[in-house]
Amino acid sequence: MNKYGSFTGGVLKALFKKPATYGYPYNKKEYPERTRGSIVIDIDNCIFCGLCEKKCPSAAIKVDRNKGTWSIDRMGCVQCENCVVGCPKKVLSTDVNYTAPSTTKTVDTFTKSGAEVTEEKGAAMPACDLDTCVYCGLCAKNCPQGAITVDRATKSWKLDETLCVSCGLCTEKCPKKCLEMGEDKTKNDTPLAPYGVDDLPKADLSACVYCGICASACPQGAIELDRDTKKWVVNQDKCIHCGICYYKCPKKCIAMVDAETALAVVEEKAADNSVSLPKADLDKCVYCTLCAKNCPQGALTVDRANKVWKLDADACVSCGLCVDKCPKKCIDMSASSAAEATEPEFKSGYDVEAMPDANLDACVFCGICSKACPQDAITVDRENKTWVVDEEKCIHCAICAYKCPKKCIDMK
Amino acid sequence: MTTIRALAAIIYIVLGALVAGLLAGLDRKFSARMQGRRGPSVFQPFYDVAKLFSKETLALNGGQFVIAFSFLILMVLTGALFFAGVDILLVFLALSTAAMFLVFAATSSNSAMSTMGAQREMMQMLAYEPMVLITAVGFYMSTQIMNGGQGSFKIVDIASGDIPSIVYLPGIFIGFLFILTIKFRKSPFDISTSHHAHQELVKGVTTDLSGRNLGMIEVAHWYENTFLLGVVALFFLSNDWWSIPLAVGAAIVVYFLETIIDNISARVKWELMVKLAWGVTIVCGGLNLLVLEYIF
Amino acid sequence: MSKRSIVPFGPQHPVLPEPIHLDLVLEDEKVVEAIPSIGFIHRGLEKLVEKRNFHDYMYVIERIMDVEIPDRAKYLRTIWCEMSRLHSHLLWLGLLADAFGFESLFMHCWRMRETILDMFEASTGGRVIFSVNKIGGVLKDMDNSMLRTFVDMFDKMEEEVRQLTNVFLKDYTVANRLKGVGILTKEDAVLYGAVGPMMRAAGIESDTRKLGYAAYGDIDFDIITGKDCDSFSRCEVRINEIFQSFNIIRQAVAKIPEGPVSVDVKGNPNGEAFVRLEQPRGEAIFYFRGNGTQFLNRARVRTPTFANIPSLVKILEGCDFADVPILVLTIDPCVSCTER
Repeated sequence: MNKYGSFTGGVLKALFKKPATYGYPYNKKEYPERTRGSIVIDIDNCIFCGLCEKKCPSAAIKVDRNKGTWSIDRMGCVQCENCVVGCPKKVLSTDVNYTAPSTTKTVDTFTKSGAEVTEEKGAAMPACDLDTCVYCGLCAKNCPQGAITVDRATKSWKLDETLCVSCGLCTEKCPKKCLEMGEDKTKNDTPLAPYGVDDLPKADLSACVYCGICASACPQGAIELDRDTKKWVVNQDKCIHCGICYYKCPKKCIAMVDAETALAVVEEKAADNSVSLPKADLDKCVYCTLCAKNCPQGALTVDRANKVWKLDADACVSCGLCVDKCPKKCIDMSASSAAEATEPEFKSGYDVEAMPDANLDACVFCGICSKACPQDAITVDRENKTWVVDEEKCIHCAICAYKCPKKCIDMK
Repeated sequence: MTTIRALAAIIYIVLGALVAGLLAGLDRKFSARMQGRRGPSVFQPFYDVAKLFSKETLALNGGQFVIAFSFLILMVLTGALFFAGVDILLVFLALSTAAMFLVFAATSSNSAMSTMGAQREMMQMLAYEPMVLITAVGFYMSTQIMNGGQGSFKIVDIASGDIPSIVYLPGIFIGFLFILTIKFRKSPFDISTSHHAHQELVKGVTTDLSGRNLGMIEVAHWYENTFLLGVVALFFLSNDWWSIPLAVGAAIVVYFLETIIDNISARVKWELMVKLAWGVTIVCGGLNLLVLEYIF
Repeated sequence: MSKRSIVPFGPQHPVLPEPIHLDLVLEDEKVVEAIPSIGFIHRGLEKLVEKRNFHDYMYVIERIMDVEIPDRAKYLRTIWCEMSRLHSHLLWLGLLADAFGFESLFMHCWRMRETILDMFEASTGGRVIFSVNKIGGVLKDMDNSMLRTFVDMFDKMEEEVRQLTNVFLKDYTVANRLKGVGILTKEDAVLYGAVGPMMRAAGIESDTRKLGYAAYGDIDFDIITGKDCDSFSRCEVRINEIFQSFNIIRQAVAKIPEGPVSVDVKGNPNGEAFVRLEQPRGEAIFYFRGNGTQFLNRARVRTPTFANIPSLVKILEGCDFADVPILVLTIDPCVSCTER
């Protein structure tokens, strides 16, 4: 049966209990750790990309790239943390303390210290070097704004400048490093890539040395490769037809071919145990170290002082890059065993202390020697007709003498 | 004697509003604590009224000020007459007249909320008036018993009996408490206007009053509350000195009781209010009168 | 026949927490007809999705993209969903008490609700807008000690909430305002397409949670229905749902598996999905279509309030003017949610 006054006990109990409310804001509250009170910014690391402004559901954030300011309408902010989650540089975070109550709307503005943020930087947007671009589409996939459109079929790379927030994520993700923030290098009249848009890579297994450079270069991890079993397979589903493997292959044994050809069963290369390792002709070697510098595996050690050229046969992947890069053409892949390849024998024809000296009467100051010098030891000034070698830097490699078109450099 | 009575009336005019304002502040504080809140300062009602007087008065017609002012004056007059100890019938007549001016103030606007509030206010008057009259009659009969046949409607006579009239009028006292809830505009009977604008009529009768006009109505309500608590005290007054603190204490307890009732009831509809008010009037008031008539 | 008058009710009205407008045609204090109009705060969600990101509608997007979220995330979502139901129903009880002028009951209901909001603050950081879901799971985990603390708090709360709800169910003045008021029969509930507690109070057994989204498939609970079809019945259904929510949370905490709380989701939705969810106010329907970009193509949200407005208009006919605030509240209106 319903009775009157069933809440009497409740109200009388409450009358003698401590009230549940307190004198906010004069009495402060202890907030739990996760409280989303207000948004704070580490302004000095902000890149003013404006993603927070775009993600803010209540349009409380304003980012001014030109002035280097980031401002927030404290009364408009709903503390949803969208900006904190979406910030690519992670400079935004949440503080447990709420914005103080106020009779006016407060807008907090933060300015980057030493704001050398200029208008030039303000306009920085990615530009694509279409000579290098392989239209892999990774930039478009990673763009938080969907500002980039890449069409492999028509070989076009387009940027919607109204959407771009200049965050630079695309340049970071570009496997070819053909994107740059800054001036517009995009040219649409560049020659097309030398293969079709749906082509798959196919290695010429007779030439392949299973160095693995293609597999590690592949942005999609689509190439499976095993040196021991002589296996080289491309995963058709993962491949984005970017051709990076084609460009990277040191042996130039990968071709971009149509899918049918690529997937046609070919006779597998017999898994032989023969090895082919680089061997330097130490009679010719000048210990210039270019082979060691270019080795993708760091398998070569060249010590000029002691005239040592050493190969770590275990690390070597037989890619042959050292052969290609050797200015003296003194390396070949003739060694068939580790012992053979690493046989040390010093027979240099050059004096290891010899310095290049140019016959200035014959010299045309073309600068080829300067460009060829691995150490940048030669300075050539065409106008003043000077040719100087920095004795400190010179490694006595004689590449300059070898490269000189006028043959006017002698090693003395 | 006349001087003392005039002095009582003057004290009421000066302090009546202050006392009731302070009581309203205490009421709000107590209510808040019952609701688990800290509540405002006890002086909050004064701040509120001061603010009303400082605000721009948007009157829908020129008559509104006159009507609201008349309500205030008549309410002060009611209380002053009561504390001056004149005929209780005259006092209750003045009270009803004052209440009518509140209805006038509400109907002077075209607002549907205000008009419906006025109708409900009249419904409330319909509910409580019989009990008010029975109270007057009850006081008359109690003096008749105390004075041995010579009855009186005069308040001075009622207040100077040998024993407090509550002894003869317990039923009427309960009935009066019941209609007090209506007069104090407390839940469950705050149907024409409530302390909180949270009802379907917004603020009911006072919806279209603003600024100074609303401030005057509020002050008039304070006078009204002091007067009503005076009537409660009258039940406890006799010619003994100790009846005075008893009467004041009783008035405070009754006020606190009303606060509790406010906090344990939902607002009912007018049909139930009239039914209950008349039921209590007939049962408590009527039985009490019958007992006085036939037993004493 | 008495004179008819029209009383405007809303969009700004003290008893109306939400901006809906009703033209109430009155004969004395009887409502003969109620003419609703909505659209005061329409924001154009359908258009907005074309230029603002879609990260607010995780579950639908997950359905479009065929993302399977980790089990722990499903349980966490369930627990937060039920806590939302608790706070929503306590809020509603408070507002209902306010609508029939029971101020102290209103305040005490909201005091209980504050406890839940404090729990939300401790677990998600937000008090009402949690922003804790993301596509592929949830952003924040609740560790087991936190969950245990919550269950202990719920155990204590339940007793106190029981005392409050008993006032609703047993008080004379409350019963006077609720019983037999605003009857929506079973047939009418079907005819007018009522949803949620409004429908269940009319005796129709339907609860979208039974579809088993999130972790509801693993939880044992009954559909709560009423039989009197009136405001009291609706109040009773919601009160019983409060205690049911306590139970669901206890079950979920007992069953919650260990593991990650989210999976990485790459790319943009391409395709469409249609989702039904049981919100505290009733069944909500979401339809989204993505086109592979970061912006959606089409969006439609049908909130429970929208579905309940026809029923509201129906029960308003013939009621007392004094009952209007109560009847508007019994559908638990969230007009701001409706006006997308």
